[in-house]
Amino acid sequence: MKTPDYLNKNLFKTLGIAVSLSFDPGQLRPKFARMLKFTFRSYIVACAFVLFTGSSLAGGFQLNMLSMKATSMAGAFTGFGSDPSAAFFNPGAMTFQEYSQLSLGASFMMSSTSYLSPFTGNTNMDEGLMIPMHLYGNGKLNETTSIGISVNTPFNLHTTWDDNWTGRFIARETQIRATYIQPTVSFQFAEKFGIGGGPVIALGKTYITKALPYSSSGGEVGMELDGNSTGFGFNIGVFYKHNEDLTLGLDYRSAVKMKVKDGEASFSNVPSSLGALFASGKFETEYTLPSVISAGAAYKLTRELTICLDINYTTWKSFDTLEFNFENNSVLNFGSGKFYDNAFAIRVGAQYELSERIDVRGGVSFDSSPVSDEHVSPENPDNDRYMFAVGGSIKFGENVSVDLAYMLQNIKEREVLNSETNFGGNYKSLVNVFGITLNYQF
Amino acid sequence: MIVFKKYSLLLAMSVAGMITTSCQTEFDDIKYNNGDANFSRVVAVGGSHLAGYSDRALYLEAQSNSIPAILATRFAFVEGGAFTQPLVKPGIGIGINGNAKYELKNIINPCLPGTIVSAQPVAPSGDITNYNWLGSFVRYNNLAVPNTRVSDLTNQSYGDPSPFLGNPLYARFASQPGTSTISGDALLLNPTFVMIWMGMEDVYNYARTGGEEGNDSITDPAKFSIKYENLLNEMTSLDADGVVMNIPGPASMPFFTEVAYNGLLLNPAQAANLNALYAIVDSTITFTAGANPYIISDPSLSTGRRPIKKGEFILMSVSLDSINCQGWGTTVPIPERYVLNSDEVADVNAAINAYNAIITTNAAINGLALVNMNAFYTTLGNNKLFNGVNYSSEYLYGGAFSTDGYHPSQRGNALLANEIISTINRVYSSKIPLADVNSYSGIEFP
Repeated sequence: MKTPDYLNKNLFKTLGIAVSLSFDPGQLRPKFARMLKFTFRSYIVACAFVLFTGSSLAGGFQLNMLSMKATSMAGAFTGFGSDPSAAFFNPGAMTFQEYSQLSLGASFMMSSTSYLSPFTGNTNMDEGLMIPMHLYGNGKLNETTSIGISVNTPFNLHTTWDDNWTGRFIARETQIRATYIQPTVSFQFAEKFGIGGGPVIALGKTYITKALPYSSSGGEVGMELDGNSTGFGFNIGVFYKHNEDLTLGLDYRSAVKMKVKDGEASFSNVPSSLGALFASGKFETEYTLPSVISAGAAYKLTRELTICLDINYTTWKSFDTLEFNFENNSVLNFGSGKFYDNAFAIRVGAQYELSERIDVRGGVSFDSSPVSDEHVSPENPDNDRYMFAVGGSIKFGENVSVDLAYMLQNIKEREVLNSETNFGGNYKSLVNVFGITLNYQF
Repeated sequence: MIVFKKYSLLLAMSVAGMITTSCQTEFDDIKYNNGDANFSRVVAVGGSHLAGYSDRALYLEAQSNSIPAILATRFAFVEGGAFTQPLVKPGIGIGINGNAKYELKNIINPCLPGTIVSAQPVAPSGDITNYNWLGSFVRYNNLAVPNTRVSDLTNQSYGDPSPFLGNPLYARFASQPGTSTISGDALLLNPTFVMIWMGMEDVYNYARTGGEEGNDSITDPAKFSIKYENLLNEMTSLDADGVVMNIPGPASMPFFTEVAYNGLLLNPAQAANLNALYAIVDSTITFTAGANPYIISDPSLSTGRRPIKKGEFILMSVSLDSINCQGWGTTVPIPERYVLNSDEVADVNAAINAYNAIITTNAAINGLALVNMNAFYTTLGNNKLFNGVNYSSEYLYGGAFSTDGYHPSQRGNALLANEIISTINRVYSSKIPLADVNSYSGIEFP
């Protein structure tokens, strides 16, 4: 796989993260100073974090590797909320946690996607590694109030096909990524009820390359669109602790409208006679990331064994047609129809406490695809997927624990014919994910 | 910590196990089959379209991706045999007028500042060493010869290499120049499957020269009928299966549509000037600001000129310099040889309809599959989507036609080949893969 130039620049930005994280939490003593400092640090980390670019590919668009405790239970976490990632999954649960805690982690996604063309046979998508990262903090101000932070990439699409493949006029590389930064407040307003929420600041990246059906002596004209976007939304969750054994949660994350302004459009292999048509310049587009409604429950079957159930409903219908408008060259304007439908997911997970220091977990989930057969395209060859997860936590000493997770996603084979591009064939994907989250409690 | 080690090892092992079995995806090859047809010895008979003629010449790159050559690469998936073509030498190629191939160039606009894109010959004349006889040792599967009418197929002198006697593009690979015939050479291969597209030159040599009579007249449908019937009888005499193509209409070819009949765009001042001029010469002709029909020559009128009517065609062969700089279509009527007037259009369409009826009847009698190219070209006029690319009959930007506006580009050849494969698959219950149109060369802009 050819590494795009822009990735190299980001290596340095990645180093920025390492620098930001090299503080010693042990030095932070007084409660309030501690909170402020960590929130401040979190923002530094968040900013470095946003600049980080993973290297390649993904099958799905809504990411399921946002915290390894949740991942290892296949994402069934809305009614459990047992760690700082509750700031994302259900902010209502934050005050029910016993400690203040900071979590930082990353997952390593390896996807394999194959396309069967009726014209050219099997083509494999370029393989690569995507490393989405996550950061959560939960600071208990007192028994009934917590503040926290969540930084992660809940929407992350990255696919790369070979430059010369048969679908190059539809997609070569496609990246639509949104990093959500969410400062959060949570109150326990009754003995059994918590509510929490916060604004979502979404930072997006849209990067699209494809070929255009015009040739010069140098080859086919290539188009590269690169734009950043910002959007705003909110997250709110309620948590109900019926007793020591049963907890319930409900969470709503709003839709976020992402606007790409002043995106850079550039073209390669442009014949001089078409120079005026394919002139580099600005483009803009906008799209709406969906809202997600989640309901979940966790039940302690025995002292050691907890089972969790989650149902998510994602309003993907908002992801309709991406209109790309070129500032000085409206002839080039084009629309890319997505026509997603709303989708649901059901997740079941379990946690077993092996010892005081070790928990093991597992889970399965079924995610329905928002894309129907006539709208599937190689930018995101999506389908219904089954996910199987295992993992566990290990405590080291009093303050530090590590969560590990492995998840296998099996995206079912499907035969499609896209009505907009007449591009058809079969797709199937497997995604392997390893992840690690480091937790520090204080 | 012992417990931790034990379980972490277990976890690591199970994870490793899951990874090794589940990391990669890959599809098996699709199974294809030849159905009821046998592609072991395939022969193509036709004119310039099947010969791989493109950009006004026969040249190596386009000839290598001729329609029959593309089909042969697909037949190879279903036990298709070798397919040999009488390839020309690499380089500038050779056209039916001895010309070189054309390609798009930026040329200085003769009337306005700046440059325009125009198809220009790559050399003053073509590579006539291609006329040299290739010898009698090789049997060629592609017997399509540019400029060939149905009556030429059985004509012995058609392969005569003497100047002005035969067609040098057949003579160069005839098994016995001056003696052998194209249909005779086709049967030498004992074909199991024949591909026949005859009739294009029988009508389009006339249409493309603006209805010039003489050598370029339309072949009388009665004569066409006899010759075509004999052709199919002969080609199937050795029990070959096969496919025949019918004749598309001119309205879906850029050669006839690129210069729109009402493409004369005038501003109010230009219109007023022309009206003042024509008030003296011929007051029945008036102009308005905006789109106007061009003025064409019409000897049947006392004035010798009139505005062109909708449905009549100005041919792409007209010099745009003459229109833009020398007043053609306004003060100077466009000469007849660049215009297909309504009578001529009617003659062309009548001939095409007659040929197509003959082709349909004889295909059925001989059990050959019929590809409705007439309908397919019409479809192409309304855009044909292939893997995200919108092919159309628009000149240059439509991608399907070469720079001559009449012959397909290499991608156009693949589109037509796919239409042929679809018909074969339907009629012969075969499963032959279509060609990846976008993998062939597109039109190269300067």
